[in-house]
Amino acid sequence: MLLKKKKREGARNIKGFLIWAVPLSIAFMLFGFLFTIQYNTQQSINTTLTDQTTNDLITLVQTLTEQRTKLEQELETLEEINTNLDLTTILQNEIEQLQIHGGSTEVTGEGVVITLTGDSPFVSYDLIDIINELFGSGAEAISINDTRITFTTSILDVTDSTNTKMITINGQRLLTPVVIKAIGDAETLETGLTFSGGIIDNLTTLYNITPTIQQKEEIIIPAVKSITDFQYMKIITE
Amino acid sequence: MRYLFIPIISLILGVLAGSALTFTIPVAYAKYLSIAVLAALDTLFGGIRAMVSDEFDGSILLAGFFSNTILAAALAFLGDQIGVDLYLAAVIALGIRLFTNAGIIRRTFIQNMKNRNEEKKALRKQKRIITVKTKEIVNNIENVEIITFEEK
Repeated sequence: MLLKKKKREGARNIKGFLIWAVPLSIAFMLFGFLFTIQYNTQQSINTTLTDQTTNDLITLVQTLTEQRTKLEQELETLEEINTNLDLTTILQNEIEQLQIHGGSTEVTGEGVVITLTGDSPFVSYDLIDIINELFGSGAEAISINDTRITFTTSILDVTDSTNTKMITINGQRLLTPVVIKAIGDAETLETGLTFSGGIIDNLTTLYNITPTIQQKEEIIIPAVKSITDFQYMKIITE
Repeated sequence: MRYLFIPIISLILGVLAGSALTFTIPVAYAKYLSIAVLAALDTLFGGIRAMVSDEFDGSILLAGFFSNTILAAALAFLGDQIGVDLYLAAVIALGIRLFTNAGIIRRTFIQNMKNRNEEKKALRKQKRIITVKTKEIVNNIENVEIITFEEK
């Protein structure tokens, strides 16, 4: 009887135990399941931007904008340097070339100095011949009495109202002694002038004009006094 | 109360199942699930409270568990549809209930422990009284034959 009683009590115990334990276990298990899923989801969300707090996002944006402006400034300076490098070198070269060609700057270098004294009976053609010869011998810049010879320079024989003959260069009277300076390889220039049957030889033998020629280490040739403005000439763009 | 380890084991089992799945809810629904989890937690606390105060009913617990989780999630969803933060209402209500239940559980536990102590004290007192009385009785009745009956 005692045993039976115990058994019955045990059965009641188990029944009572099951009554509360099973639902509670199910509830707990489901809770654990849901909680874990939610935890995982939240962890994955926390690493994305959408669930960041507003303050975090603001600081993030601020730092990013700062970085961006910094980088933009850097880029700007670098680009400036880059373009400056390119443009300045190209333009400088161009300007130098143009100045050399147009004669708008003072230039210096080795060359020859030809002096014609006042008592020699030379005319404008003689000067032109000398200049042509010099250019032909590779002269890079020539001046007559500090007037730069360019592609617009005119050398003329003029007889004025008082019937005196004179040579003008760019419309201005050429005074003696006439000093012709030419920059180039001094040796070549001199031989270009003085070879037998050359221009100086001719002048000496035919007209008794004896120019003196000096080779010089350093000759300074001035710039043109007025730069011509072109009115009619236009560049043909292809 | 000795078998509390069983729900804890099932909780661990649930956690393991959840992590084994390595499955995440789309971000748009994460909020609803969070409310559902909160509701589930609240139901569990309610269940524990009911057990502590001897009012436990398994069916009520399970029904409460499902209805609360679904209702909370649905409320949050509805709130989102009409532009009201209704999930806040659920959070506040559930949070308050959670704390209330926790308080009740704590108080009942302490009360139970106190009662048990007092019972023990009372028992000890009774025992002492009984022993004293029996001694008195034994002393008083010296010449009394003790007749025993056999149980039939």
